[in-house]
Amino acid sequence: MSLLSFILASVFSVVLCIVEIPKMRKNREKKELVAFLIILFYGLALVGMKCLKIDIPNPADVLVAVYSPVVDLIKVALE
Amino acid sequence: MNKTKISNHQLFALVANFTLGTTVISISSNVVSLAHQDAWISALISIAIGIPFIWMYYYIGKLYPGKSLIDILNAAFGKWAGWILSAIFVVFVCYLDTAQVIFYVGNFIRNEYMTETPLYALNLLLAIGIVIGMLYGLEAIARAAEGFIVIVSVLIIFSLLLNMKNIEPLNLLPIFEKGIVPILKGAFSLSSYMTWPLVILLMIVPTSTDNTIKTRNSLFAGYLWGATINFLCTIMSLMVLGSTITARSEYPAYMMAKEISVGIIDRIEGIISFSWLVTEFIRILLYFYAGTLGLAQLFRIKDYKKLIMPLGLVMLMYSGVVYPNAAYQAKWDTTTWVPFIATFGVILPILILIIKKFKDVSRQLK
Repeated sequence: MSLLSFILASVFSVVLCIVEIPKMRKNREKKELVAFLIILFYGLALVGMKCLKIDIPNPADVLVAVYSPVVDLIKVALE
Repeated sequence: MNKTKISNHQLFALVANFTLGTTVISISSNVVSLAHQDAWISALISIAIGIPFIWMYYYIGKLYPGKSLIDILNAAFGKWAGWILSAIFVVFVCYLDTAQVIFYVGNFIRNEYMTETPLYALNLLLAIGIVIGMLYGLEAIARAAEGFIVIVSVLIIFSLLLNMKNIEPLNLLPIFEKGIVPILKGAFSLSSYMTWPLVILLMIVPTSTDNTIKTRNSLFAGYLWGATINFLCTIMSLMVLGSTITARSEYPAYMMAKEISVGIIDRIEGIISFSWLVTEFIRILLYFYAGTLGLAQLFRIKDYKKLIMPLGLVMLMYSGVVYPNAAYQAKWDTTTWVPFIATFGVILPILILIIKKFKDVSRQLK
């Protein structure tokens, strides 16, 4: 099942590349092309990590860590 | 660089949908668990809290006409600090929220309708809709919002009217049982979902509207309309279900609609979940639009539409990651999120205003 979803995601990415990259090259949009490829590979890497059951780091944890002193301060102030 | 224009009535519809999304169904239970039977007072207070903030967001947009929040941050804080603040805004306000709200919708459907379906399957359907909406652009989103807000308002008010038979006004007593502090806690918790995320409108309002008094009025009207419906839903679910059940259930407005049984009209909670899905859809689209526009401006990319499909894939993958479990969700929603969005919705706009005024004064002195 997980292999199937990875294959489907790869097929989606390949089709997307085939459709979009010639358009961008025709219009000489170099920056768009680079950003497009980076984000697409990032997404594919996330799919792969999920299929291999590797934990994807949660971006919300960063905020929990940064804001925990503020949260503690507010808790103390309210009680 | 951005030629899209939306009318003032469309802005009203977008703001109203944005205010209604999330708050009506799921956040009101957080508010009730903080303020108990006085949560309806919290809802009223948070309407009042919101008005100066809406005015402030409009005023900042007027001070920097034709500039989005990214440009405003660059102008106010300088090149490097502005870039870093904008990057934090784009990643942690816009994209994190996109993933979280996608999770909210998928989780709701999984909990209430399709308990055996994996979360990603439900999120995928929503993500496809969002990507299609984004590819059509802001005008199409705004036109859809115009239609949605009428349907949603009619459906919610209809279901509230049908619930009139079940209300128990004594559930609201005693008023002010524990003093004002729990009520204020509830009001700030509600504001952090209803008012302060509206700061993302600074990505849209200064560039895509005509920024006149009418724009301000439609911002206020949209906010008040959404907040009033939210207030009605909160007070009705308190009166119908009582504060204990409202605080414990995850989706109080949905549970309240299950109570409806008038003649042959029965089991119509589907209309509440439909209207909630529709408002959440607009909310996700606004977050995603603001984020993608911001990302494109950060890296000076001209055509943001090229990035939508890969970004949709990334958002879909993160929608299953951002809330690992219900305990994390409860902790995030009631603690970390409130000071975090207050940084961007309260402190940052005030700082921008102070810096702008300071610069103007020092320019006059020269």
